[in-house]
Amino acid sequence: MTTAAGTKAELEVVGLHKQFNGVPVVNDVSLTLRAGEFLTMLGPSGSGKTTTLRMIAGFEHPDRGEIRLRGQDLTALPVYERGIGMVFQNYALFPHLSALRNIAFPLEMRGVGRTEARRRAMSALEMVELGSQAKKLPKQLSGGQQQRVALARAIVFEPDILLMDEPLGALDKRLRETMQLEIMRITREVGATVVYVTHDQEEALVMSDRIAIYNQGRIEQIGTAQDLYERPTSLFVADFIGESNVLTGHAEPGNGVVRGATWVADVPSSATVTGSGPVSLVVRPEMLRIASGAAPEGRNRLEGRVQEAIYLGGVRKYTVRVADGSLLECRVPRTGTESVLDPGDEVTLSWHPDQVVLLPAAERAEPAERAEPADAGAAA
Amino acid sequence: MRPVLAKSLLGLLSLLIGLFLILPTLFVVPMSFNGSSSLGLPTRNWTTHWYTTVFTSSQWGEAAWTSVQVGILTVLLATSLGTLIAVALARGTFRGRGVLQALVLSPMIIPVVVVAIGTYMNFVAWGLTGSVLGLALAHTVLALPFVVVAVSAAARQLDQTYELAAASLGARPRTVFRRITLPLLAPGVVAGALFAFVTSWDEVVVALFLSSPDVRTMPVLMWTQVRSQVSPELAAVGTLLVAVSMLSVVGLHLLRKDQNA
Amino acid sequence: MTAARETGARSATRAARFAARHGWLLVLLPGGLFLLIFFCYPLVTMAVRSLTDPGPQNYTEVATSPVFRQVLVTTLKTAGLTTLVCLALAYPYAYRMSRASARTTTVMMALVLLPFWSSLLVRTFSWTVLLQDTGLINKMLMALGVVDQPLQLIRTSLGVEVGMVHILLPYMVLPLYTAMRRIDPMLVPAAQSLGARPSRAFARVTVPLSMPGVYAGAVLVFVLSLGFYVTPSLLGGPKNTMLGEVIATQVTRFGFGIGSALGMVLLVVTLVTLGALTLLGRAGSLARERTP
Repeated sequence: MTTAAGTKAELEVVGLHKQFNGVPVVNDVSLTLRAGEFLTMLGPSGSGKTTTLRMIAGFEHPDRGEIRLRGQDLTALPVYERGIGMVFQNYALFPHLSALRNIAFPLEMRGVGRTEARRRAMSALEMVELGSQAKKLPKQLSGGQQQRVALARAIVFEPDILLMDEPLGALDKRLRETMQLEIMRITREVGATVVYVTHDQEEALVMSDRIAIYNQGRIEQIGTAQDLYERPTSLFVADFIGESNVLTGHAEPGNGVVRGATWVADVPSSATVTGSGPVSLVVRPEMLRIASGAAPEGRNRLEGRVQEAIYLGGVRKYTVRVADGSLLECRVPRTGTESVLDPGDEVTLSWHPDQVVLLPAAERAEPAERAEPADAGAAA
Repeated sequence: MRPVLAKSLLGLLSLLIGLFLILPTLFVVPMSFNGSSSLGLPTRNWTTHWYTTVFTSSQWGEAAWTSVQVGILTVLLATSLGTLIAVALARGTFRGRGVLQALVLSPMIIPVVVVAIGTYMNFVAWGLTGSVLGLALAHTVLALPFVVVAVSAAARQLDQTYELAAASLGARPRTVFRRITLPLLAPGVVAGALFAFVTSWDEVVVALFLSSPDVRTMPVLMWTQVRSQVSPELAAVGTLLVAVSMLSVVGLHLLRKDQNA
Repeated sequence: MTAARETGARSATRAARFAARHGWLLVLLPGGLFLLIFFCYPLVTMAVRSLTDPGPQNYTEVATSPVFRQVLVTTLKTAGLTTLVCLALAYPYAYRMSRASARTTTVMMALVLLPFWSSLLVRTFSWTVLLQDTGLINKMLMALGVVDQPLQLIRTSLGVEVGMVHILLPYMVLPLYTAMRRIDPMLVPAAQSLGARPSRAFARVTVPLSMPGVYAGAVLVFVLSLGFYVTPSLLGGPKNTMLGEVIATQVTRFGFGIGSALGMVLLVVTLVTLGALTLLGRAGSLARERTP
């Protein structure tokens, strides 16, 4: 395993394409991992994240594209020569081998002597705090213990890359949270470079250095949790990570404003509007200020009526119906001095122009999506 | 009250049906220890005389040896061929899969007499009648479906992820087969082997056509004697035949239990 | 990364792809060849013999002979009756077994499986002893004063029927049990909570859901009955000869021609029955699906 953390690319995926029965599943995916980085692929099921992972592992062969490990092309290398550790969704622990022999397996495959393999397997088992369970068969272990054994087996041979395919999917919520921290501790301890697949956004936010958001076989956006939450580049990402209010209007480049049916908003200083056309403004619920009563005319505000008020402990959540009929959500943290509103109250919602994100309006990437399969078909 | 009555009636009926199944099967056991030669029951004088007769008779000894040889050869042939077919059927995606499956299983359904006379006519021409090899080849056809069913069940339960996992941990395809696939298939293969042996051990119709006075199995010899004269000696032979079959099935049951524990 | 290593990797990939595409054929080759030579070819030989030894007139003889027609009728009748009796006995047994405790189920299953895997010849032999004039059954009937004279049980159609039902009952119980085990145990209580009396819940829930098992068992028992040889020839008399026996006698005593033709008749009757019953079963399950 590498200790030379740095800027050099550990794993490079370039222009990966994969179709199943003519249906594109992975569509021009590229990404780069630094050594020691923890990257999570997040997206709805069927969005291509697991297929990408299986291509990196070598279980699937890409139709096009390259996978490079420290500059070496892996695409032609069979699974068993890639030296990539993998933790499977249902662990795939060999049912006829004890926990210890499961962990010793990859070492034996690499010609490590029996006693040495056992010794190293035992220390890996101890690292996941299961030293006392060495002789048990997988079915005699609990779900969380099986998960730990699977992890130990995947890292015991010090692979360059560790792949994890929804490894916590089968565990209950509480155990999942414990295991998230456990996986982070262990992978940091051994300095592993990790590619992690999940469809649980909270898990992704907790664990990752960077997150790649998948949608329909493509990576929509890749970045840190903060990037994705505060600076989403598409409505899909804005919607997928956290909750968001979307206002649709028209840009007026001359005035530096966006005009909706019943409101006018300043263009955020981070954005530049070139043409006039439909655009969306994304406002996170906690960035909306709410005040009772109607407000004087002005920019960056909306009038409406409280439809629902929900007390959530730390915050109060209000659902407000605004003049054009749409519903906006607003979260007010409990400070002890915040005003309490009831359903039916007339309110004004306002926001700071730099706390909204301006995006092209509900772009449906249909034309591009359609062009791709035909293109790939011609190449095949 | 009525549901209770219905329930106990059902229980009684089931008991009677169970007895109808098992008693005639085990009837040969007391019969074989019967002191009088008239085969009546019950009796007061028990004897092991008929077993002594069977064990000292050279014709029964030869028949038993033939049965064992044919059984073992059938097990070897049917288990190896059947395992390959079952793995291919469970894993492979190829054209004609359905046809192949129907073909492999059809010896279970096609009347044995039909298979027997067809095989007999061929084996006369090929000089395979009256030989252990000929008997084993014919029995393999009948045993194959049982092996395929047993191994397929194991192969279907064998999650392919285990093999992918082994490959990702550095095992080459041959090692994966030896260290992962085979051990996981083993219970199914052993079950198939036992089924194959019992099939051959009890088979009489095909064996009747293919046996010669020199090479004949125990069921064949028993058949020729049943037709001429019913004697307690045959009950002793019958007990031996049933005992071996039952031991195999009980062994199989214990094996399964061990697997699930 | 050396060029040699890359070339090696490439050829390994190529080999893996070849195995993926053609590998299964190689795996299947030994078994497939074996079945062709030792299972398919004998059937072909029989078909050819039936037409050439001495010629197609074998079939004319089979078709016109009243003896052979009688045998065919007896065979079909016996198979039908065996199927019905097996169903009548197996249904309550399988039902009881599907609702029994784990321990009782094991015992009941053993009572089915031990005969199932025991020699058919030995079991038939037991019946010849039980059913003979001086056998246990006649002795008991006489001791109880039911009859004065021993009943003629062996070498009758009754004897054949008893023996065949005994042999084939497990083939009916097993599919029935499988089907009944699949029925969600909460369905009958659910029907009762909706107002169905136990008998009605049984008739409206358990019976329809067990039909696939009834069907599979009936097809199996009927088709297997058609080819029976050992049991009818030991327990039956000249009046209830079945097709299997005639075929064996023909081939061993009178030559291959007529025997092969009769073998073809048995094969075709079996396959046609199987095909027809399968179609019927599909139509039945379709009809059930469409009925509200």
